[in-house]
Amino acid sequence: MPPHLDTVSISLHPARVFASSNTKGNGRKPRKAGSSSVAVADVATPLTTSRTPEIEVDSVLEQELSSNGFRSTRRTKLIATIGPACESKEMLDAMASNGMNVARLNMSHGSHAWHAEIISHIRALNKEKGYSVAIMMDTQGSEVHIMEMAAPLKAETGQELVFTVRDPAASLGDDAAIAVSYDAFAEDVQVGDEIVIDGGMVSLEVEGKAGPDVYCRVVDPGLVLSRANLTFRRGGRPVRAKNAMLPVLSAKDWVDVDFAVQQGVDFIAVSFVKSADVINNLKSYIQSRSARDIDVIAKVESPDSIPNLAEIVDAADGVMVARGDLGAQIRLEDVPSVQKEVVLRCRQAGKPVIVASHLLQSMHELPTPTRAEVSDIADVVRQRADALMLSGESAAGLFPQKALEVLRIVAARIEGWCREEGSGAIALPRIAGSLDARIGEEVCASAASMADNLGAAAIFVFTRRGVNASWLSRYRPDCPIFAFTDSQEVRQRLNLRWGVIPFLVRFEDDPETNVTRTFELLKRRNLVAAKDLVVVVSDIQRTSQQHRSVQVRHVS
Amino acid sequence: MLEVSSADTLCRWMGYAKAGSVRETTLHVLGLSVGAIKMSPFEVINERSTKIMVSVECLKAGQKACTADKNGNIGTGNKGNNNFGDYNDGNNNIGNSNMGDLNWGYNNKGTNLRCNNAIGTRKVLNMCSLKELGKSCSVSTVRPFGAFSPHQAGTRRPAHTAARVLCTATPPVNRGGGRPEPSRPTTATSAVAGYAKGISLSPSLASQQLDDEDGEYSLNAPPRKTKTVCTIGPTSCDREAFFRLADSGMNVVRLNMSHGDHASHQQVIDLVREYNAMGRRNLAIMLDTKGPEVRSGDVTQPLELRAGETVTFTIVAGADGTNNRIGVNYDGFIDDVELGDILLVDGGIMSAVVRSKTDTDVVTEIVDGGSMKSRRHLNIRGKSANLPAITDRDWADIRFGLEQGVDYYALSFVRTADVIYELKDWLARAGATGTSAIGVLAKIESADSVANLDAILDAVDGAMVARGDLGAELPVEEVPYWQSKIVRGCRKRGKPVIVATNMLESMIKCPTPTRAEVSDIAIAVREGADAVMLSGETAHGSFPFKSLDVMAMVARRTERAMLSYEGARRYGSEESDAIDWIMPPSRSMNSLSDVGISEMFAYHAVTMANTIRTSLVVFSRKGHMPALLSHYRPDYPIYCFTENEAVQRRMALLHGVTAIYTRFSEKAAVTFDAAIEELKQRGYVKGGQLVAIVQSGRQPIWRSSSTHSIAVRAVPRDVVPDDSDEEEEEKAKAKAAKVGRAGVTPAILT
Repeated sequence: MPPHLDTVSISLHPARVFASSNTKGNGRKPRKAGSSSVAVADVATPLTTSRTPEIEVDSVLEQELSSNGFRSTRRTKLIATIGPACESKEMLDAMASNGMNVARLNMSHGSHAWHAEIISHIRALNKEKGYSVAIMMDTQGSEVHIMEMAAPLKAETGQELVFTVRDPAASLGDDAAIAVSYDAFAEDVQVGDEIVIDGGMVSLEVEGKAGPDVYCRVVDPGLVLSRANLTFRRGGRPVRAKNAMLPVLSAKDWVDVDFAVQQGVDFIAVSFVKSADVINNLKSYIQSRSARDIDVIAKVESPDSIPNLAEIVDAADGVMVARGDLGAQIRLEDVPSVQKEVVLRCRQAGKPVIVASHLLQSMHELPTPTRAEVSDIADVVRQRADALMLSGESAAGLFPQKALEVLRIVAARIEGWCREEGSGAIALPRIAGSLDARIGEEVCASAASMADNLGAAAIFVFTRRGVNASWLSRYRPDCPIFAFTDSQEVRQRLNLRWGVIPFLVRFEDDPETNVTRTFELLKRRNLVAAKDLVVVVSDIQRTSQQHRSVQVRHVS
Repeated sequence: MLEVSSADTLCRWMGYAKAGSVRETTLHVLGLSVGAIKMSPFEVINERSTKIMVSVECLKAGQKACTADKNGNIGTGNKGNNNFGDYNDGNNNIGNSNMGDLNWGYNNKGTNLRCNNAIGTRKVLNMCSLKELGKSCSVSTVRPFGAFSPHQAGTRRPAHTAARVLCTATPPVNRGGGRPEPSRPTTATSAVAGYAKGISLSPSLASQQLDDEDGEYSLNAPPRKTKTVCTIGPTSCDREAFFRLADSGMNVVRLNMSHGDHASHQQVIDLVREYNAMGRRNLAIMLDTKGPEVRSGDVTQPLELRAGETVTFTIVAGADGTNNRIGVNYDGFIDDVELGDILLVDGGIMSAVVRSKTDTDVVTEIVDGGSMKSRRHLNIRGKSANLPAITDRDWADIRFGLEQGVDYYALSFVRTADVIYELKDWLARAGATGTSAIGVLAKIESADSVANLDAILDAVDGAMVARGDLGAELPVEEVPYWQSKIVRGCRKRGKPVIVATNMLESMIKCPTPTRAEVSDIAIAVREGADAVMLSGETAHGSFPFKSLDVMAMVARRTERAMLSYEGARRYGSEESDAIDWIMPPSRSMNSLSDVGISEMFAYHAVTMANTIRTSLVVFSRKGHMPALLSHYRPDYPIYCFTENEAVQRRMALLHGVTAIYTRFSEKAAVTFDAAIEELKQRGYVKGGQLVAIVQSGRQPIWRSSSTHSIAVRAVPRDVVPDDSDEEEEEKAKAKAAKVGRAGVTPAILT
């Protein structure tokens, strides 16, 4: 037994601690069940200890790891949007243990108080159960859309609908009046324009205008949904008039950004990004206001962003392909190729990329996905995007847990297939600028290729800021990347990265001690076994001098 | 004024019901005034004699003849003056949805355009490429008959107007011996009115298509090569809807024998015959058997089941849902089920776990609740029911298909290769061999079938990835894996493969697809499937035409993207393997009738056609050579000329093959000239363009048995003078190049 056993404290699920106390002293435990593998934990230590825990492991990953072994852990990360269907702490707990890596808060809905409560729930869960669920705040943006509606409206051919820029409360008293978010709407449209809702879900022709109200007749029938995207076209072309000048970050968005900074979220996703400027502006604003790092995710959903993809990827800390609005604004059939391009660019730049919207649309109402949806998810996983995102499916659907489960299972299955066939490899250019960064890039490239060639069980990386872990993730190695960091913030941010399993540990001054101690700690939890081959990447400083190393080791 | 129920009846009434007959007449002979008819855009039938074909559609019974409104428009939604048709934005247009003045045709933008343009309806009926829009392009000198002059719109049409009326009627169907050669037009005549109205996502989306015809393939963009299979059902079986689907790009008609009776399927088959007889496009018929399905019995009213509730499935007759007892139509159910098995209703909409069973009853606990209605489809996860592969009912359907002369059978729930051989033997005994063979496609949809995949694919003529049941019998996350395996397996063998089920499921109710569905179609196309299929979307959905439109558009865009980014796909891509020999050529090929020779020719012909970026032309009696060419997935279409209508129809399923009926003449050269002229007429090739002609295959048509050849020929240029500047320029250029009628340019002759 290691001498420092008495100082070990591990943050654990209470039930599991209880279970483990019963099995204490059983000698060599079977490697299978997570519940029996933590016998040596110091159960007497209070869960909310003031000391930094020695190692903090995501219990979900722990379970996945110990039941499936290294190779079959899921690499693709899952983001779930939080809404009424999963707002309770119990539901959030269930979502986290079901594989949610990042919780997304959509600022288009809900009050700051509501969001603050969700954030506090997640924080508490992270603390109590050792999760590393990150929080992503998504701005509303100011693109033209329909305001909140009580119920979807069925639009029949020939029916007259009234769009208005009035405050809906003070509206005509007419049920068919639909409020539009864009104040200049009534000024901009002309009689004869075509109004397209959600990229073709419904189309209407403008027949007349009266003050703030625009009278339209339905040409193509369909459902008008709450907050649906709305474009208008003249002579067959989208009108880019004053609406082209709408700010990417509106006044409300800035209030939300302040809220996010104050709450200390991990990611801010910016809607309808058009160019890199707004990203840079927001990043410098955050830097001046926030005590901690917040990554800025650019959402690609505006046609204006397509020509600027390169600079947007360059400026942002990550990119989200928001296919819902994107498909409403560009041709639907172009969405797959835009998605492919964004994923490719991001993978080359080593930035996390998220594919979002309509992944499991049918699971709003049904417990089983359509085959097209499974095939779509499989395609994203084969493109090796970092993360898949659920929107309405988890926020307001009937089966949020099931939807998450489908993502989890399909991702794990398809990743196995990718490894079997070696598909999804891309050419990665050298991108690091300074010599220092290039050393990091080369070290990680070698480590990843070494791990693949040796069939290593895992790559261990000791990382303070998450830089090396991100480099390793960029190479999409066959084995999982165990990232050890001493900052919960970094740990949460790494949770968006493909293949990275982040652990929280206390770093010692001596790198060798760090390595042997993590082996020891993981071994005790049966996450690794003696003789497992691992590749270790470390650049944690030993006092002043920095050694960067790649080691191939057997777990001792 | 004469009122008739449809153009069809009119034709029959006039005594034109002879198979495929083309007749001309004047309207007053028919007793009609122009007001009684609706004119659709004309087609040029013979450019040298400057005749035009005006197609007419008679008004439906009870409808009133139209007169011009106060602006002189006849039709609805016109914004200008003196238009004849619907939704024209300018003045003096004939046709629909023209923007600008003096256009004749559909969807023209600009002035004085004289063509039907592909945009919006995606029907390339004429020779305008997308790039030429906005300019004045003209296919030939076309003079309207006086009364149709736009300038006279605004007055009621004169009663005695001369127009040519094309009447077509159902040809007699007679597969077995002594079949009369149907008389049919061998030129491209398009004369069905009213079906072709624009059904794009929206006009504006279509117009955006102009923006970025990308890169190097922009001037000569190949048409869609992935085929579409549409299931015909209540929303698509009437004549108008069916023809509209056919005109919008349907390639294969699927008859789902799980629904409808023989009489209703017979009607659809008649429609296919009628459509094919017009010579516009070419449809194949696929008969999809019901197969041995396990279904639950009737319930008196839908059971609302919640998770945790207990439901008993029983093989004892008489269970009607009372006390949650539900009947099952298959006695072996009890033996197949084991404790702990997951029972899926309708592919997973509801599910239940088996808790206990007796000799007659299976007690289950609901996991996913829902509403349990009568006769739902049941699966046991991971197991295939132990039922005969072809039920008695299926045999009856297969016999029906044989009598009606369908082109493909899609056999449901194939579990082993034996059943394929059984059906093929039966077909051979029934005389359906050789050129009148019926293709047997296996639907891969059971847990057993993936286990026997290789043996099944070796036996069949093609396969369908039936993802609905596949995803129920196997865990749903396995479906993409098997889809890829099946598509690759078929392509490796040079056999057609269809990806089916749930492709645009959301479009049964909504007019737009989800992004996942768009991406799914793109994947199937990138995997290189021959065809993608619509099921409920066209059979009973609310938006059958839009669904087909979306599918065709996504397929075409994806193919374009593959051209731009991946070049010739012979080297494979992320989703598809490199294309390899079906049968590696033997080093000791002794005889020229060796099948390896043909494949070698196919390979090289495709390489040549890809290099010079042009279409392939092939003449075939049995469809062997076009299938080989299709295997190599050329960038541009394969135009297959054949004398055999059954072969022609079967080609409709193959990737990139457009089959055209023609009579082979005694001399090869004459046939070639006629074929190229035909392609030009149809707008498939342009004057001055090169085409690659392949002569190979196991049985020579004209060549002596000792030769095979690939030739590259230039399509003769247009010689008709025209007033437009571009035309002059082109003519000048042509003169300068001294190409009046380019001769044969032999490239390779063996």
